[in-house]
Amino acid sequence: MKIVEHSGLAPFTSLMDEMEQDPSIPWGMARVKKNYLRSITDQAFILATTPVLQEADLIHIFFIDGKRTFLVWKSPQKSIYKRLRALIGTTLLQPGSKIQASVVVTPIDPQTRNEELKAAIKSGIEALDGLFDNVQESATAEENEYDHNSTSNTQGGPAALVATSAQIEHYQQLCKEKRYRKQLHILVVEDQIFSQKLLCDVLRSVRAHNNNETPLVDAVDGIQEAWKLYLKKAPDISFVDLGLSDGSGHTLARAMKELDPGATIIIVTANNYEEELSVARQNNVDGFIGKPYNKKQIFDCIERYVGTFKPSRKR
Amino acid sequence: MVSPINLDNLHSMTDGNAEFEREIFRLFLVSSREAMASLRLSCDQNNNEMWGKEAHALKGISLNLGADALGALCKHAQESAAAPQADKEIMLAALEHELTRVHEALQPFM
Repeated sequence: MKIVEHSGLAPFTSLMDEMEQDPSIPWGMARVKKNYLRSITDQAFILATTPVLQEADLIHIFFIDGKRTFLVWKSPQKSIYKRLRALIGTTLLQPGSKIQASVVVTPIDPQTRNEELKAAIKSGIEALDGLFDNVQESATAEENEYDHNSTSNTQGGPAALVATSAQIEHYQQLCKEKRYRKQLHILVVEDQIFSQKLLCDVLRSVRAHNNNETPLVDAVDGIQEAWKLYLKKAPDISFVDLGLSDGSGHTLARAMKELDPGATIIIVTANNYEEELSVARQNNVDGFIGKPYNKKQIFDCIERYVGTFKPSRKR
Repeated sequence: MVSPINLDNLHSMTDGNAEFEREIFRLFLVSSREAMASLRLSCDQNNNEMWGKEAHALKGISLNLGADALGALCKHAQESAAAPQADKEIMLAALEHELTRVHEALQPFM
C-alpha cells in the first residue's frame, strides 16, 4: 500500500485523467466530512484508517481543510468505503454524536462520474461538495442495490458482518427457545488467550447462579468467527473485548444489536476510556466492564440476565 | 520492596485452583514475552499502530493478572504511541524491567 498525501485539490485533475486513460483499473473515492470527527491530526486520521486503507494498492488523500477530506484509491475492492464508514462510525465520530456514519462518509464512483467530477473541481470546492451532497441519497440507493445483489437475500449488521435469510430465520427460531434452554449459552470474544481462559473459567463456575447447570461457554478470538457463532447459537449473553485481531468489538456489538435489539452484550475491555464507553452506549450494549474485573462483576451480569429473562430459574 | 503483583483478585476468580493458576501463569509468561518482542519490533520499525496495539494487549493481561504497575506502564505506552523512538526506548526499558520483576514474582507459583 502506498499513501500519497495532498494539502489541496491541485493534483486532482491529473489523477482523474490517469483514471480515464485506463478504465480497466478500478478506482474508488469517498468524501469524509471531517467536522463530524473527533479533533485529530491528519497523521492520526491516516493511522486510524490504515487497517482499512491498507486493502488498497494506492491511496491519495486530499486534506482540504477542517471540514472535508477526500480519499481516492486504486484497488479491486471498490467498496473499501463500506469498511471505512464502519470504522469511522465506531471509532472516530465525536463522542456523543448522533450522526450516522453514512452521512459522514459519502462514496462516489470516480470512473463513471469522471466528467462531472472534473467540472466540479474546476468550479471549486463548493461545487465538489455539492456534487457529493447531491449523490448522497442515490449513492445510498446504489449501495443498497449492491448489497442486495452481492449478498443474495441478506440483511442486518454492518457491511462486513452480514447474515443470510436462512441464518436469520435460524437465529430467530433459537431466540424463541432461549427461555427454555437448560443451560445458559455464553459467547466470549477475546483475542488474548490468557484473558480468554480466565473469563471462560469464571463463567463456567457460575452454575450456582444458574440452577446448578454449568453454562455452555464458547470462546473465539475475532469478530468474524464470533458473528458466525452468534448466528448459529444465539447465545444468551456475549462478552466482547474491543481490540480484537480482525476489528473492533464495537462493530460486532453494533451488528448483534442491529440484528437483535434484545441481545445481551457486555463489553469487557482494558480501554475503559470515556470515548469507548460513549460508543458502547450508542450501540445500546448492556454492560461495560473495565479490566481488571472481578468475579462479582461477571456474576452480576449473569444474575441480571437470569433475573430478567429466566425468572423461573432464579434461585 | 513492594511485590509487583497482587494475586488476591485472581485467586478469587479461580477459587484458588492452583493447577488452573499455573496454566494461566504460563500463558501470561508466553503472551507477555511475545508482546514485549512485538513492542521492540514496532519501536525499531517506527510502527506506531503496532506499538499501540501491543501495549494495549500487554496492559489487558497485566491488569487481569494483578500486575498493576506493569499495567500502568503499558497504559502510558499505549497513550504515547506517537512518541519519538528515543522516548519509546526509555518506555521499553521500564517495561522490560517491570516485566522481569513480575515473572520473578510468579516463579514460586509455577
